[in-house]
Amino acid sequence: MIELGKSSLIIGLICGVTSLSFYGLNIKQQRNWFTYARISYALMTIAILLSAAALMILLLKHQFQVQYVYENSSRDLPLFYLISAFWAGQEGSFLLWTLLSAGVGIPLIFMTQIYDNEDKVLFNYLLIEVALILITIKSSPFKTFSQTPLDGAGLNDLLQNLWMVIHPPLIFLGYALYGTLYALAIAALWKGQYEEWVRPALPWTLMAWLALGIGIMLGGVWSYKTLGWGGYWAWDPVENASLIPWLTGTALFHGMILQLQRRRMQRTNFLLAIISFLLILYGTFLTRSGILANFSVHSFTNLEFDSIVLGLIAFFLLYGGYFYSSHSRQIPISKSSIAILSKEFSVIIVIGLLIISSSFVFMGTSSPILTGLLGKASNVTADFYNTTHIPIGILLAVFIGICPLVNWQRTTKKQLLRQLLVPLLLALVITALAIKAGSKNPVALLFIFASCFAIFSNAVLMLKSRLRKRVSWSSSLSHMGFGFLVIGIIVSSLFDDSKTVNLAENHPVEIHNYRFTFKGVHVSPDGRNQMVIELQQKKSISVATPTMYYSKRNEGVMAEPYVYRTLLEDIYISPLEYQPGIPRGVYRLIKGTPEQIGNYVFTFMRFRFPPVSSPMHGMMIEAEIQVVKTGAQKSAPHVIRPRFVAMSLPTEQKPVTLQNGEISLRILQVNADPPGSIVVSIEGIADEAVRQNVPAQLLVEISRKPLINFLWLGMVCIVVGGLIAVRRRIGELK
Amino acid sequence: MKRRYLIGGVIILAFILFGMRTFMRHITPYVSIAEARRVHKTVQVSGLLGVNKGTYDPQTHSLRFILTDKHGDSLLVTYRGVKPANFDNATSVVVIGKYDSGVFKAKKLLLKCPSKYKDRTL
Repeated sequence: MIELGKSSLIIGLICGVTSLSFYGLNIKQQRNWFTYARISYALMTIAILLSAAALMILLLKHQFQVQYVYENSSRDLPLFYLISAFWAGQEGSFLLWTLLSAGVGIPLIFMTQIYDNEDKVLFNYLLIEVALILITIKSSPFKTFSQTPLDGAGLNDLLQNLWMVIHPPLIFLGYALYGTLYALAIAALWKGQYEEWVRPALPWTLMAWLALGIGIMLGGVWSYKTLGWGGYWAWDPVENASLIPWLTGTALFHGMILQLQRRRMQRTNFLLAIISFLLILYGTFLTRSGILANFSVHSFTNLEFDSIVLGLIAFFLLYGGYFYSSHSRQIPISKSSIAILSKEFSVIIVIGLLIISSSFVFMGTSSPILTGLLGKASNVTADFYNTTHIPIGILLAVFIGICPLVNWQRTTKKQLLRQLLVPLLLALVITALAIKAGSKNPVALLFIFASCFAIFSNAVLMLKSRLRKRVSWSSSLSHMGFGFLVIGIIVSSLFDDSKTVNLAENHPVEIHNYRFTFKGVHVSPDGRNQMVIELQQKKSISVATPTMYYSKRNEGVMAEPYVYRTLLEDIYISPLEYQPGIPRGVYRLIKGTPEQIGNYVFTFMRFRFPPVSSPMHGMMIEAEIQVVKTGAQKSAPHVIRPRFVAMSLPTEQKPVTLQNGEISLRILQVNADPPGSIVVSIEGIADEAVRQNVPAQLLVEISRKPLINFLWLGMVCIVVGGLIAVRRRIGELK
Repeated sequence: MKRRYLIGGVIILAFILFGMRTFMRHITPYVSIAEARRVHKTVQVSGLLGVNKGTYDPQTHSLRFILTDKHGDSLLVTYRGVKPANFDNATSVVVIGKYDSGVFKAKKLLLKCPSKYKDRTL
């Protein structure tokens, strides 16, 4: 299987180069080499598929001598996650990218046949594909150990989640589709089809944008539901790496629509298509190389392929730059003037804002590199992104709101004012309501106003186009989605109300109009500790179960939040720390900390490990405890040494009695974690001094996230609108 | 027509200036401990955790530990917040915060854990 995987990749490379050569010959000689080129392409795809199948079988059959299988799976992993282990690591995800790229090329061949540009498009596309195969061979998932480990290290617990199973394939499908844009743009420059390329390229752009967008959104959902810090977006380099090309992709398809409608943006569109793909490569470089290792929590570790990826970026940059610069003079540009009150003006502004936004994110994400070149490597905080996106966000919402109210070419002031009336009024009403509800933050109010305006103006358009049975309402839906998204982001983050509280078992605490009662720990079938918390609001009671568990792979306690969802707000419960309860007469002694109990002061000094007569008896631990009697019958310090046998039950531990026989002490638990502590039961203390039962305690962060559902609603609207647009634009090709 | 380009240019320039200014304001340089002591600004310091992993007070949720950088300087760091789950296993840490009267007050901790599974030699 390992050999099959490796050799298939080599065969795939050979077939890819062959196909590339035949397409090249076809361009040069004007002879028909298509059949050979297509057959080689098909063979390449089959070879990569075989290689991927080999890796999948190795994973399913637990072949731990393969490093990748060892690092990303284990025997106890359910089938579902075993499959997803394929793209859990770097090497596997590159193989997936290569495979998806090869697959995407097949419909590309069929489409470009119709447009009579197959050889040039596929020639360029194969350059990318061959590069991907090369990377996969270089950072191969088929490397082996000399010995076979018994079990794998397992899949990262954080990735054992439905969202994380589907998130990477979508991201890589997006990456693969961005490759087609590059190929289509270069081929169009090559062939001089400066206007004709846009119609066939538009559905590809929309699909690329949609796949990457859904991928990014799922990543946000995962972050919100699993990571427990209450957010869905952290401006982390790994997130930004996908966001930057997504923003330029958004700008690109708007530019393409403008070119189709008004013959504008010809040059910009070529540049955007080329740059978007380069940004994908750049993002890959940023996140997969070690360069940001000190700045990102979840950037991948360095493999020695930085230079390969850098070389590829340089190649595709120079290659694309050559084609653009040598043809840019021939690209027609529109000389007609643009009216301010027109749709084309609004769209141009929106494209400009998207480019500015992507530049800012690019600048922030690259800051360690940029500043490292000038001197000291520095990073920007999330505030940089948040601050710069305040004006961008507000302006975007305003122009998205104006867009549906104006005609493509020109609209008179009178027409606009009449159209403006309803959405403006409704937006004002909502903003007034927000002020009345107590929000005073001017930025928040501006955002609310602008995004309500965008929502209502697009809603009016959508209603009209539905009534008139006009087809185009997908964009209105997506634009409304943008408005919802912004409201969700602004309201849920600016009015986020977060409190850290200690919940003692069975002691209700009232927060955010809810009564929270910690009911103890319930061990779920998968061995994770569920913290059972009762939530009571008026008369309705529900149960929240945030979880905490020890992850062997991550060597630490993992906490998974619980989100109690209601229509208007989420109650986000994130467990932070759990302290088990201590029954009556039981004490925790921390190393070096004197503890006064009754008339005695106990100080746990240190652990000792006396030799054991036979290893069969398990490990013996001795605790040295200094005991001093205080008060009237003051005594000199006295040392006792109770023992604890690690492998037997606490009830079998022998008690140690103090010299005078007054008290006896027994170790129940030993905790070696620094500073070290023991749990002991002490008998013989005067009744009134005995420590009462200490309830178990759970430290949680409880936050209220108002209107967070608008965020999800916005995402769904954008995606549904995008899907409808894809269907329509594909239909237009026929 | 000319005027319109002018207005457009001014707006773009304004955006660039605004971006640069925000960039400069929110940048946190990566510095050595010696430098962190000198500049009283928000910075990032990367270093190693000693064998003694520091102390954590669960009542106040504050963590204190000593960070040592590659020049051998050490720094007392305090962090208010719940102790990160994998703190005890971490060997090297990036702290983001400010140095103030003898202590480095960290606002954020980035932990790096030695993952034994990354050891390819087995």
